[in-house]
Amino acid sequence: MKDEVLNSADEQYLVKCCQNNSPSAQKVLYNMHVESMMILCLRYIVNQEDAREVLMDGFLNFFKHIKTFTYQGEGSVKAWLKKIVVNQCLMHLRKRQPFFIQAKEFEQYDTVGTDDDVLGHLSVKEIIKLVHSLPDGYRAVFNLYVFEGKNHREIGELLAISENTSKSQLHRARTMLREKLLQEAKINY
Amino acid sequence: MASGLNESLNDKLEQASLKELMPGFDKDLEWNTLSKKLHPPKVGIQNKVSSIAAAVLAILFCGGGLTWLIRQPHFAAKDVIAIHTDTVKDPMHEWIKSAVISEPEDSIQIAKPVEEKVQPLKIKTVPAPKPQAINNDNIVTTTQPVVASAVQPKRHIDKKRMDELFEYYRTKEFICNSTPCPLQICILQTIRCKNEAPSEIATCSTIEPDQAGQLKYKVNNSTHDCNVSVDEIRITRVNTGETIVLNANSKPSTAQDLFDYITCEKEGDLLTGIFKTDCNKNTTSQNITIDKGYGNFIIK
Repeated sequence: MKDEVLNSADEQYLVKCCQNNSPSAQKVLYNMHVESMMILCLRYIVNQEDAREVLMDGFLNFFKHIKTFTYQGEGSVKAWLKKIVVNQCLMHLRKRQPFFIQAKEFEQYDTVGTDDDVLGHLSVKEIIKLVHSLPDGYRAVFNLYVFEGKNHREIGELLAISENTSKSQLHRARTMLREKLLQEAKINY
Repeated sequence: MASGLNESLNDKLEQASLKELMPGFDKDLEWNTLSKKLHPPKVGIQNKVSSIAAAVLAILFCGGGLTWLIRQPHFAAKDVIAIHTDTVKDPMHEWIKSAVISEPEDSIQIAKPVEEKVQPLKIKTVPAPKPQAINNDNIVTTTQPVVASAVQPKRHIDKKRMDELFEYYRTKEFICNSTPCPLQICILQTIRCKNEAPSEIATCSTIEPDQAGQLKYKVNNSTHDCNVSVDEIRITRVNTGETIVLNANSKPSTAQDLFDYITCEKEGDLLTGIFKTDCNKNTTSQNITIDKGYGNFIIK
């Protein structure tokens, strides 16, 4: 049989089967998304063993709650799964204290620099390595802002922090990354 | 950050190979662990209960047998030399086998020739233990076990009666196999008649790729107090042997669901299951869907 890419009707069908607790359908969905979700976990969690466990819990939650999911077209399954896995990663990070370095409330971090552009020129391995070098709190905010496309209000709600704290964490993360990149550039030079 | 860069970064990460980042990650191993957590095996208490029940039954059986032996008149006077047990083969097993296989193949009505095989898959045999006691006078006494004598085994329906009551029937619609692999579809039916032991019959049809045929099954053609039910349907990919088994509890569809579709009781499409490998045993899973299109049923 030809290897066909699943179309949205197939995906919807798979979801329906998963809602009926079909192991075969669950495996198909798992295989479709496991790699991208593992890479997502690796962005948030440095320890690979922890990342594996978090991913496992993420998929468990996904399949346990799939009955409540309403299919809303192509990509909706992945978006929902991604949300679950990101939440699972944040839950894991919350267990590790201290999570955030407290921001000075009077500091303003509204100016968003474009230094992240440099990430576009790095390989995935280099990006992950660089993101791993950040402390947990910085990394979480950086991931949510840069990769998940969340704004500071949403990040604040997700992490139960103020918008200003989110801005300061991002600012510090960027400063740290800039320094690391400069350091590496000097070494390479 | 500009949304364009955000997207390009995400694309980059989406297309990244996990093998480079985490070479030790075994997808299948992880799935096995996850699968066990999702579907924990339902044993434990059931197993314990059944083993206790088996032990109690064994004790009762031995105790009953011993009591019976002690009560025999010859037992007190003479010693028992040996006890021999034997199991009587159920003649219905052989009969049903021959009855099913003797179905004429030239009566197949199909668009293109479809090889049909009819095999009885599960025939329940009732063992009839026949313990014998031999005494010192070399007189062999056939004995009946205590438990067996309490329940009279029911007789199976005989061939002549079966022919009167039931006949093979074909699905009204042609079933087209639009997958690239030959498929064998077996319909397992149980025939139940009043005061008789149930009998099971499997009717199998093989459909080659891009060919169509009518599936066979048994129907009751009289108003006699017998009925026939569909207990299981097996869809087997002939090259690999991989089988989708549909029964009363299978998901996403049951054997009765599929039977209702192919006998036109219900309309529409039906996902019967997913084969984990393709014809060449490559791990490319494929849905098997019965689709009511173009006037015929299509397996795709």
